[in-house]
Amino acid sequence: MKRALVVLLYLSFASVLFLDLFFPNHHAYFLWHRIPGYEGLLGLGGCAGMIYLTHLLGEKLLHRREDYYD
Amino acid sequence: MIEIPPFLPFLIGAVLFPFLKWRRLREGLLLLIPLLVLWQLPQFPHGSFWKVRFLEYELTLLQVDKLSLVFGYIFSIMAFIGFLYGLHVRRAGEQMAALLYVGSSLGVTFAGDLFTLFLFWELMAASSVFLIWYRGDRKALWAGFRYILFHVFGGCALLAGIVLHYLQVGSLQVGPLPHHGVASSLILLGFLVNAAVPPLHPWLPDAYPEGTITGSVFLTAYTTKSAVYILARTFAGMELLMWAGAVMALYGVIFAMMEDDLRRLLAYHIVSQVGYMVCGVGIGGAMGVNGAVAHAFCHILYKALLFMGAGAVIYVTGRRTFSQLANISLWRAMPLTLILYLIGGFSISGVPLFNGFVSKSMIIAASVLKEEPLVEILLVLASVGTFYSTTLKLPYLTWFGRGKKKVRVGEPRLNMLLGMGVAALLCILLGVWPKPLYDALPFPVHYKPYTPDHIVGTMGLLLGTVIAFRILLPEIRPHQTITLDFDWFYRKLGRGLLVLSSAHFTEWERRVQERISSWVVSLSAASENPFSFFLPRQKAEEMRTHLRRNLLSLGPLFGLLFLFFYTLFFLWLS
Repeated sequence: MKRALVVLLYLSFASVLFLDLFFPNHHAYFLWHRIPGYEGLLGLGGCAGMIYLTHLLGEKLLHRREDYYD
Repeated sequence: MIEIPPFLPFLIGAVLFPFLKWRRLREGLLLLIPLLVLWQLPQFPHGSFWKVRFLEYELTLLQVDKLSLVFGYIFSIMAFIGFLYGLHVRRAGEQMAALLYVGSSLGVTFAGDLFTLFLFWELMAASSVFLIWYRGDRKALWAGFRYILFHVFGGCALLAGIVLHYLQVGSLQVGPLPHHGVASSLILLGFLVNAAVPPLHPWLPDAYPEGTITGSVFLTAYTTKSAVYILARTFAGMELLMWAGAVMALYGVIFAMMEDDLRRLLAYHIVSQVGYMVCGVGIGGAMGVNGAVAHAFCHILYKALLFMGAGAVIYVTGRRTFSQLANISLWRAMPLTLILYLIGGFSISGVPLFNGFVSKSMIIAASVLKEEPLVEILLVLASVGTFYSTTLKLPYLTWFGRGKKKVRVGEPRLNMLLGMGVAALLCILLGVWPKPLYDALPFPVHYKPYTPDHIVGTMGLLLGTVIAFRILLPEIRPHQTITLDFDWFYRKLGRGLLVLSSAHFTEWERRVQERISSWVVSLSAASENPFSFFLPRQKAEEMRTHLRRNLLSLGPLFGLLFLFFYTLFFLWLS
């Protein structure tokens, strides 16, 4: 069940990237709008990057114990 | 027909509320007032009404145009949803505070002059703080104080700006303000405090999670969105706002991702979502302002839904952080709440067929049209982070805890579910059929959200995020911490300053006080018995001790002194 869901997820991602070839951005104003599947890559990379960034930021700089202000 | 200003029914309701003894009557009143206002709004003609002369100024209590109407609609819809969700609350004071809060935001929305606006602006802060204080614990008390202090600061800036503006221009009309000089900067500062633009935002994530479960739902809707409304009316097209908004959108998301508290995470997403709106206002033009207004409309619905869902979990379990929820598994116990919450999550993330999709994309499209690539990237990245943290991470850590522990909880009360249901229904309805919303926007809309390339692009973005979430799942754990933000400066640095100054100044102050009081005591001793100077030392000391205890004798002393100097003065005059 769980495996099937994961497989479905990857399949649908691949198919969306594939579909993106046929529906290029109408209003390709900036350079990256012309890269096929640009949004998918941004979602993947952006999310992973932000997760790592926030972990780093929290651990090194901003996280404190809960009674810090008391 | 007489146009009743929309704030009036709410204010009258707030005054009448405590005198109604029957529970049903109270509940009926709470639900009826928003419906009454909502029924009346579409019949308003455009223009200015209810002009009142006050001192030498003409105040306009009701000014209607498309921009104020669309905010009027959503504010009254939201009031209905909020009161339905909080129908079970028995504390009359809390419901009164909510009525006043909604009423004053409607007052801001329909104010035709800056003084009326300021009046309702302050009433909004003063009534909403009770929605925090009614939670009743120590944290809420202090968070409420910080909240009200911040808003008093913003209110003072606004008032100073309004007075200066009136002196310069001679008019109090609410309208586009050219940004130059001190006056408009101060007014802008007042607005930016309520819009929670960093670094003026810490009051929001500080106070909203500390409010009552039902009160916080109101808080999410009114303060920030009335600020967006007034920014759209006065500072549309200001480039500073575009950049502030774009940075703010990502800033809120980054901080939300570090949060452990459910409602604080969602509160940071308010900062982020309001960032989109501020950015849209800053981009300006028909597309930018339309986008900001549409997004405010949709945001109120789904953010209330998200807060209601998180509130329901806290209501049922009494736990408010991911780390407290980690060892229980809730999805079997509260599946309906989960589904309703997820509808809110899909809406805020801009999934096609949900209302965020039709409004958020307008702002991003406006940034593309204005040819601002950096703004576009910031907004899209914020969108990715929003989907990850509200729709994937929060439900995962809240409903799917690892523990095997049996929890004896169920769904929340029926009225709470109904409130969430209405919001969810509207989120889907507007997502599927955005025409009524687009028709209500201040400018004509030539924008079609449902084009194949847009849908495919958005799905790619969302699925990419899900895959990143899936791969990094082992990294995503609750951590029992709080996160430092700009409030550190007044909560820690400010306290440090206080200690530093008190350590030195109190000693000095104590010495001065001691010296003065010893003078006063010996003077009063002398006035009670002038011979006390000649008494034996021991006796005089006894008398002084007695006097210290009984400072009443100071009264006659000061009376005599006053009479003495008065007589001198009189003699000198004559």
